[in-house]
Amino acid sequence: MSNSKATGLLGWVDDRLPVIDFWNAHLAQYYAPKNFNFWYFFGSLALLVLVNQIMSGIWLTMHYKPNAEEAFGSVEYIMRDVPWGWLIRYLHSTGASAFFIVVYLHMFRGLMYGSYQKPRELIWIFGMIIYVALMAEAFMGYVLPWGQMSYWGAQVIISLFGAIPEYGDTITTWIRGDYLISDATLNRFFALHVVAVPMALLGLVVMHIAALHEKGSNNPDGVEIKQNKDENGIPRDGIPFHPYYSVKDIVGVGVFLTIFAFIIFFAPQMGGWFLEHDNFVPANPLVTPIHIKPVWYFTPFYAILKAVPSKGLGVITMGAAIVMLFLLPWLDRSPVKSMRYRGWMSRFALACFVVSFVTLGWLATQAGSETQTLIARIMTVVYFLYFILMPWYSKADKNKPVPERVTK
Amino acid sequence: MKLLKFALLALLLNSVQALANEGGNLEAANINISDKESLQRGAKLFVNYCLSCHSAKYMRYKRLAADLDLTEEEGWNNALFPNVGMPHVLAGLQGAQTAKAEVHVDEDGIKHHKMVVEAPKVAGSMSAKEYDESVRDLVNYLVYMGEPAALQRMEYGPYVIIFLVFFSFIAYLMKKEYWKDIH
Repeated sequence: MSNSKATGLLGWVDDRLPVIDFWNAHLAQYYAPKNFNFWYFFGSLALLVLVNQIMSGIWLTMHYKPNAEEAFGSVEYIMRDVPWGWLIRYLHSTGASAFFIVVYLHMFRGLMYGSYQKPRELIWIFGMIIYVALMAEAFMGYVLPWGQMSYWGAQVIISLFGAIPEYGDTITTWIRGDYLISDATLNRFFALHVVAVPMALLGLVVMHIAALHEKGSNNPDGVEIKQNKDENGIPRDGIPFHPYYSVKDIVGVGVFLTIFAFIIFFAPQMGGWFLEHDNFVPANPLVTPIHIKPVWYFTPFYAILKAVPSKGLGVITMGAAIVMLFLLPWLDRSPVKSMRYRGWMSRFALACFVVSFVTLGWLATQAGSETQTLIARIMTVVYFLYFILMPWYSKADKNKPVPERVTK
Repeated sequence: MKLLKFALLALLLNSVQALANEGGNLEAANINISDKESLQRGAKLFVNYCLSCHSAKYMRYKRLAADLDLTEEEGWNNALFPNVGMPHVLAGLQGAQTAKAEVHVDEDGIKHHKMVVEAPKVAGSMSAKEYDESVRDLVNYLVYMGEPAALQRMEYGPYVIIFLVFFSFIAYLMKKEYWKDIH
């Protein structure tokens, strides 16, 4: 359907590719709820960080050598001799941590406002697949500098696949490309990290946004704005994404970049949290670091893995912890979407979930003790109870009346 | 006779060859590796002037010390990383410290062993204060060497932040202007 009003270059293109219809459908005439708050910045910020990772990653790939002998040295070369190499590297490493901060806050918004509820289940599923792909991408990216933690982190995580009965050893050999972590592993992780997973991520993000645009966004009140349209068919509580949210998101980008720049220029290692101390030592298969621990964004799941006494069961429990998130749209039976109008049980459960997630994360970074293991086990149970009891407490909760129109 | 002429000719030509090497006329070095004192002086020169750039990684010190009657590296230890293999390379500056083991018995009758480091009995070329400051300089240098880019990033950082704060502020004003239409 070409727009007969468009002339010139735009008209020529629009005649051949429906750019004006696309612009209208997804920006200028795509109506989003007008009451978006702070929690609604993180979707656009996640897209910004994805672009940052891709661009800084491309430039890193120009100088990085994916070879066990040269990898560590090539990173030092980038940091010291490539003009502005240090900036490109810090953009990428800080971006990786920023990606998870943004994504966790983005997901938390979903938990708070019931964004995963019908009819938006598929958006949530795509988002969860993005999350899993992101974890794989981050894990493989971390191996590439070939430091001590790169090597030994890879050793631990790949060996988890050995827990699979019967085929475990064959699978781990297949993943590694060798009988032990070696140059073969590094090379294939490079291929996957630079090409395969980024392409998958881009495709998944497109699906995620397409599914969102099909149903429209949720909002902090959990009110469906499409149920209240004016005589022109425009939601009364909706505003066009462009210019209102494009202009608002730019403010979010500015504030985010300010914090991002502060970290890059003044604290890029974050005291060992973003760039771990052990990774400044070249990989040595003969020397095991005292504490092998993943980067902070994996720590809650690592704590769950360590809390379970058996290796096989630990792997299953850790996997289940992520699978539970996929099931949220069907576990939540509340007629109310947003925490603003839910009863005390749902609020308490969410608070407990946050406490368990953060505590588990912190525990994974510690040396470990009897007390810590006990707390980790309790927190693992709390984590799972949030999901397992949800079908009951979400239904039984005494909710407040939900307004017809959004509040501000 | 022909053989003799041939032999003399070969000898002559070869001695010319020895002189006509690439790099010009080299003097004879008067090699005598049984001259132990010469070897000791030569080793000292090599270590002081050549070793920083040219590796001699196949020559073990232990063998060198045995062949040349050099002092063996022994007797160094330290209170911070006990029994580490590295000798005190800055001993000439600090002076040679010694330590004695002390045993304290607390109220519960439990013995606690402590290494107490004593001041150098043989002074080094620096006073304690000078040495302290020198070590600080060395550590400072090592921190810099770990990340030379730190100098650049801390220099540019403030400008980047100032720009971004300014940008965010202007963007915010623009947002407010657009959003006047809402509600």
